[in-house]
Amino acid sequence: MSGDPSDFDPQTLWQSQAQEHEPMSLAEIHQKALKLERGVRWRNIREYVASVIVVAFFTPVLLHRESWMMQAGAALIILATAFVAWQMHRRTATNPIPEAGQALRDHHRQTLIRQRDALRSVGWWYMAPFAPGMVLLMMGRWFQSHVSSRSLAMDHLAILLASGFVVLVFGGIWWLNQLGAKRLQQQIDEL
Amino acid sequence: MDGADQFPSRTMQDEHYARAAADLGPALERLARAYEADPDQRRDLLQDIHLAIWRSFARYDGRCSERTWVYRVAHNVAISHGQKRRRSRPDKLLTLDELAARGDPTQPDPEVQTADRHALARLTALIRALVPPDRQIVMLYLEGLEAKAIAEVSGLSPGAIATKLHRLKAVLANRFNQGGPDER
Repeated sequence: MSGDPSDFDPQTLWQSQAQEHEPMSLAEIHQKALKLERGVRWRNIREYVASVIVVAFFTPVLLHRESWMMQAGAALIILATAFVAWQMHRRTATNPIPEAGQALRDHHRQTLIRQRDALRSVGWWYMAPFAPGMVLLMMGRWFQSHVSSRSLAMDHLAILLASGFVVLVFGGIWWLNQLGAKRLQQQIDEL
Repeated sequence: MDGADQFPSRTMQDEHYARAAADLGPALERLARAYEADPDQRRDLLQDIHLAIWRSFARYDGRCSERTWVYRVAHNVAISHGQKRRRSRPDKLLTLDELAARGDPTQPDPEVQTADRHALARLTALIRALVPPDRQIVMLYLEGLEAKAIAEVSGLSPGAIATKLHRLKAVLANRFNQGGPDER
């Protein structure tokens, strides 16, 4: 082995670096901890508000008496929104935080595995819950509820385009997440 | 108001943190420097590390030394920070073996080219080019920890650490003393 050459001591060189920052006082630490907790609280509030907006958007469809399919679809989408909000809350609440004092290898591996699993499973917990409601909504539009100002053919075309758009967006999100999961798996395999 | 009433063992937690910050503050700053090149991001990372260490002492159970605990927490925070940064700036990171086998990865970096002869800048750039597990071992070695202590912090076996340190010393000797590929 080459060993450390006598005229180059990397440890001394490394430890001789001048300090750039003053250490944080305990008061500053306490303040920052409080800010962090407020940040988490606001993030949760934002997620709940987003869910409420989705529910508010689909609630009028529940009153759309000429199509029971659309009503059922809207009800399922509202349920799916509640389910996804619960899943997001559960998943962010149970994330292992870095300050658990885990050995580095374990923390690094578990972080990658957690991220990989979240990406892999996005299909079932984030997208699939909306599928039945979306399908019923589109079927209701197709069979039971038409826009009077359009011909039937044009209305069906609009429904097909909207359905295709939804499928493309959902498919794209799923594909990107699987791609991300694959990359993370490569990093896990390299550990 | 600083939210002090929300933490049951605040006094012990504060004492642990104050001792750790006094003993290891400079090492934590060097750690942040090795993970983050941007000065503003580095300051934020350092603050996040200090905050995480303080929070961690609320659940410190004494099963490992305070120094081991602090290094684990600090590196884990830095790794999470690095993962977020890499999503926006995906650089190819190297293992120690890859580093030994190829040319100096720091050469294309303009920041390093301007300080080409500056050993510390080159050492820092070399550390930043490594994959996180190898980067941690290098930094712990540079902080003067023995192989056994590095193994305890990293979770790897002492044998694996010894092998990596052997490789590291050869890389350092090659690059900094014996006219490696960067000594043109």
